[in-house]
Amino acid sequence: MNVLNHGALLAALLAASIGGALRAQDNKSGVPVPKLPEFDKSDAAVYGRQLADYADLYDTGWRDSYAVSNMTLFDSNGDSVQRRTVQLILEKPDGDKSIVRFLTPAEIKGVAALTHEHPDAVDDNWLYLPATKRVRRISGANKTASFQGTEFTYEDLSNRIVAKYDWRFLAEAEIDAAAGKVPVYSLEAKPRYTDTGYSRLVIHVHREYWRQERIEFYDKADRLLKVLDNSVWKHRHGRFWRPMKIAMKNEQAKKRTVIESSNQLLNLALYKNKRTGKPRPNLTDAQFTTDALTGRR
Amino acid sequence: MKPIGRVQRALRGALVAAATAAIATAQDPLDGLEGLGDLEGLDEPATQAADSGVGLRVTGIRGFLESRGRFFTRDRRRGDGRSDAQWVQELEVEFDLAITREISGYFRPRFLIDALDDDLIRTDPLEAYATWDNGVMDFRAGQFVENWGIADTFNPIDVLNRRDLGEDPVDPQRLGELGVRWRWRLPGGDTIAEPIVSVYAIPVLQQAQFPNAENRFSLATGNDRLREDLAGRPGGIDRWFFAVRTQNVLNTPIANADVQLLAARGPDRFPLFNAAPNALGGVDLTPTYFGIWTVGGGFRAVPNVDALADYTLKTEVVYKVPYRIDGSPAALPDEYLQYAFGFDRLFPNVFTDKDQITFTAEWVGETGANDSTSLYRPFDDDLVLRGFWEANDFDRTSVELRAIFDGGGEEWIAEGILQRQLRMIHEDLQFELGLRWFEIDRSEPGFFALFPNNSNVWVAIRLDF
Repeated sequence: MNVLNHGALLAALLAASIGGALRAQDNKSGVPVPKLPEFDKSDAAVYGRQLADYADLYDTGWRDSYAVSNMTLFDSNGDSVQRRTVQLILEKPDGDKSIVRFLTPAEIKGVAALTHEHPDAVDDNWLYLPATKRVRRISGANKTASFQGTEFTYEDLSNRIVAKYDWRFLAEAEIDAAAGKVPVYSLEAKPRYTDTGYSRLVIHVHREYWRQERIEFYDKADRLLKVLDNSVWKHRHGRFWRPMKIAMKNEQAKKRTVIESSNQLLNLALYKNKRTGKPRPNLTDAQFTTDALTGRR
Repeated sequence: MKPIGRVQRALRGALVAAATAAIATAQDPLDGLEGLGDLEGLDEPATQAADSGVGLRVTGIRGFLESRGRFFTRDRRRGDGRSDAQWVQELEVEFDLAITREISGYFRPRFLIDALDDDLIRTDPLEAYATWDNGVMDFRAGQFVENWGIADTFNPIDVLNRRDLGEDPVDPQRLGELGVRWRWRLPGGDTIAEPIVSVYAIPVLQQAQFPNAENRFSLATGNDRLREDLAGRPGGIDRWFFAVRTQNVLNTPIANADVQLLAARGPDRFPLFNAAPNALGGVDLTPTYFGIWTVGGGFRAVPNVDALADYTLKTEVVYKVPYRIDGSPAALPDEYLQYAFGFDRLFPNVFTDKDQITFTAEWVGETGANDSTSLYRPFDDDLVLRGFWEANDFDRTSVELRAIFDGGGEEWIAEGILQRQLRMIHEDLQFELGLRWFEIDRSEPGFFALFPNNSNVWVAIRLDF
């Protein structure tokens, strides 16, 4: 679909070897890299939107995703708690579908959330609570609420659909990342929807790999609120970049949340079952229904 | 031994034995695969069980151990034998089992004992069933629980399962029903998505579990006796419960909704009581089961209108038609309509940058019946208000406040529950403090007027695993 950084952040998570190499591999995904368009650099708004569109197109075609992640929440005193989740995403041209299921702590083990995204309407959201054995539709309009006490809001976790923002090219720059200096396009994105906690985002997109290295979130008073850093990148199938580590720091509250993956796959059909030697099946719509959300049919 | 007892015990025994064996032989067929060694939580049969043959293994275990003390604060020491306190110890465990690619199992035993009441002991398999699933349809056999309810407090559509009224009649545990379920997942479209048709057949009438003599909700105190042993047991096809249920997701320009329709026929899970004088000078109360047709439906919807998109709307409506079984009872309850409708609204970031409050308002009740039994059903025209505050802090602190106001009288009930993790001891240890307050209108017949004022405060410690 038409999104930038498909990556629902959690989805983009993954497994991986710490210190994974940044070296691009051979493209084994079957999805060619899209041809660079002719950019119109005369207008910052047009150029910014073109860059956003291309970064979105660059990250299209991965079909499905599976990720197991550890979330560590730090407060301003350095105290921390951990949560572990598994997330499935199905890439769809008319809106992705995703499931997040909690594995720990024990109190919320089995709690699961299902989202069907709609580019032109309110997303469908359901929550499954094992204690009541009930799947409940919940409003998808409260995107400014914290996701399970983390520094991420539901808005942060949603795909950033390009058409829902006004874009502007700011600069070609270099930022200090975990792996060193990184050349980026700095883009400003102003939400066009009303239910947002931000006045604008500044998104730093890698100039060669078209991945989001850093995002700065500004509150409604245009003060820097949060900074998200993606690092420990993994190059899936030699085609799609996914960060193994995502850190969101609240610059005002001095709290942060770090998401690290212990396992992450893109396009499951490209992995073979070791025992049978056959390719694994891709995820399907049937695994993203309210019935499947319970994990027990 | 009753037939039902044999079936339950045999099923429980088989599942326990199978689970034990499985733990010893469990293997992850994906172990060692690059990037595939840990496919936790993926609901995809190939990742969870062998590709062929029977290779039963446990794929998930969770549960809790809880100790809960409850102290009744009003109408104490009435000299009628009722206990003014409870101290309940409860263990509940869930086992997810994979048997073959298409057959899975589930076992959820419960062990409960009140240290202050020798008669309150539960050793139940709340659920114990096997499910065959080929992706398009599934068949389940065993003892199972399903929650069909849509509203928060009162769910007239939720007619499948009995309740255990013995430990907390106001918030009772659901009890499994022994039967079969067959479901078809039909092809859906853009407007009507995920349609499912389910058929239920429950051949065994298991009785509700009533409060015993020492319970403050007991019907049998003093010289009055509850004679469950004399309860009429319908035979043959009359004891069967049948239901057809449809579910689907409805996507329209106005709203997106989860819709369900229901038709059911069978013994009502809550019997009438036949009162007859006994030799002690009191009355013997004998449960009398009768049949009931239930037809209705409900929905839970989120409007696609910006001004209403923050609200979740919900409705349940059923029409119930009682009928006699073997000519009993002599006085059949009237037909009646039950309903619950209202909304939820979430308010984020109220006191902190992480917290949220879910506010609920519902109108619940019934209409159409004028017989005496209708006076003892707990909801007439009542307003339910609920606020649920979640701090979303490290201790997962929450406060739930709920109040039910009788729209036609002076009666109201309020409840407050504080929950917080005791992380300084163990991250999965939870503390709970609750208060339930009754103001009862005794000027006219009613469910709560049958009992002493059961306002109470409770404290619980719970370890989840």
